[in-house]
Amino acid sequence: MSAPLLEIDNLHKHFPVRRGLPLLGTLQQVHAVDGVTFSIARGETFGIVGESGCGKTTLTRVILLLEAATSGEMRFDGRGVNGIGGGALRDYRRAVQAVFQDPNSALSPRMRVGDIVGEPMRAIGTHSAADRRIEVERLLKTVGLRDNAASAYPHEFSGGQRQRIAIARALSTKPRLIVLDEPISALDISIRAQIMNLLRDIQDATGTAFLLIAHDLAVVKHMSTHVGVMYLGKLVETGPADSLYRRPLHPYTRALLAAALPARPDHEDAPPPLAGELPSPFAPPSGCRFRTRCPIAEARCAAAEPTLRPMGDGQSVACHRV
Amino acid sequence: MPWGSALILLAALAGALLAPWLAPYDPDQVDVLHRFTPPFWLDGGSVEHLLGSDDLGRDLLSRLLFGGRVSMLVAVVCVSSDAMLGTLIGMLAGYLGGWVDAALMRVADVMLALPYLLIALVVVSVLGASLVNVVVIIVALRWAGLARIVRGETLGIKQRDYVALARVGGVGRAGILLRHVLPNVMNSVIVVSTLGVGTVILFESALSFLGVGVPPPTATWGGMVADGRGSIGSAWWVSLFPGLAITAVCLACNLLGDWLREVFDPKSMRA
Repeated sequence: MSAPLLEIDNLHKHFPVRRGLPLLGTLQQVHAVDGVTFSIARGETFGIVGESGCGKTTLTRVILLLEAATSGEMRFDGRGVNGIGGGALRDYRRAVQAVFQDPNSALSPRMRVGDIVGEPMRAIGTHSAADRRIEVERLLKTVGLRDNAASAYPHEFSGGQRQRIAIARALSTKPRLIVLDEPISALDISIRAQIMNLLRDIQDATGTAFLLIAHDLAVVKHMSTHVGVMYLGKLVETGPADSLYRRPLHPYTRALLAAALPARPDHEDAPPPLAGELPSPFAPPSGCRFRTRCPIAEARCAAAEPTLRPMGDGQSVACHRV
Repeated sequence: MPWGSALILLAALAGALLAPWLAPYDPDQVDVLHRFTPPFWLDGGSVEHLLGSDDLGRDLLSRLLFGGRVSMLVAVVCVSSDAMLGTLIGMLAGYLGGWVDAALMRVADVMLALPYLLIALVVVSVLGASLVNVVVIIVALRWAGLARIVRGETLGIKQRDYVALARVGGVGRAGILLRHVLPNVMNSVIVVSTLGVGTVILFESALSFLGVGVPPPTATWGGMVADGRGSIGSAWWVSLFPGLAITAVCLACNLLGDWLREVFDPKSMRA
């Protein structure tokens, strides 16, 4: 097997936050991403699930080089990505694109759709103006938009169509990885399947790898080859999608699956739903971060922090009790 | 569209632009034999001086037309310079953040905290009164307000996904400021600037009234109000007509600005 496309090694992202009075308050660190390690193979989809506030979006912003990592290594195609600039940065921008959750905020309201889709090509300088126009038309056709869409403004389109525009734009540089941050959660239920199928068709046709962030487990299951479950800035379980869904090992994964897929709510053997709130990221619990909400926590969970251990079938779990 | 305001402004602009052809007399021509001629509809008035004449016998209608040129030129130059300076500084402060933001905004705070009429008096006393000095003073004292508004808007726009995606798409800082931030702050800039036209005319009038504005004998509306204040009891028309002109133009600008604010409000935008 060839080397992975993107390798993330022990990535940390901390934000300094001053709490209390200016100058007098204490400076604290929010550990938004706290030691995350995973890799994405060429052409596969890696899904990350977790509750809001678990650090999923911060992780994508670090991978997209919108935020600098506090520590840790990122390698794309075998080359280090941390702190690159100039030509290497331009190559990375070309190879890694993104689609975000809210298509209203993702499209500049004062730009025509053709300019929005063609912007990366112009900025990175891959096409002449004339070629760009032809390529924009082709991309808009690929995502299933009407012929004269390029000259319209974003507000003339529905939410699903706007997300198609965002996808067309992400495809414009022929990227090798597209970061999909909750690409369908802002859309109507009826549109979601269409967009998911569009993304799968694109992957089949172009071999682009996806990093899919979602809080909806069904979406991730439908799309992903590998899945990582994130809790309070850490991956608690990773593995191939089919085995992870068939045999969830971490109590958090089990609770998430139980909450998401109540196929037989009358059955007694369903684990109890998660109680309580996500703990404050300013003061994460000692030891295992999940122990405050874990149904099977015991004394050693507060003492030592579990690390990801391989459990067979490609699955890894960070839990003392498994 | 507030047609009344537009009409007033158009009339004022046409009067100012066409002053050399419309004005019946040279605005600075002294005629001591016809001092304080009342407007034509009053006893002693004549159609030779439609709006009457002032203490030196100068024709008020001519001075009103030519005075409008100076007042509105100052307003347009000041407001457009303010708009450019304030937008540039506001965008840089908001987008770059950090020490650039802190430095620019502290300077803006100082400008906003200055008692501006007093500063204008001091500066003009030192540098001397001239049209250019008046413009420079007004611009220097006014850019900060707009810069603060633009900075606030920029901070909001910076958080939008399309700015993050522009960076992902390889667009540099200058490109983001020019193509993404600028078009989205323009609404506020246009509205605030329109409202500023009236303020600048009033400010220039105040400076002229105090004798530190555009130096005499050049006619300005504020200066004309000042000329007439000694004789307000007997020859009220000398001050009244320029005062009315200032009021009408300022009111029209403010109404137009309010209307523009509504037009550009995203909530009132129709698909």
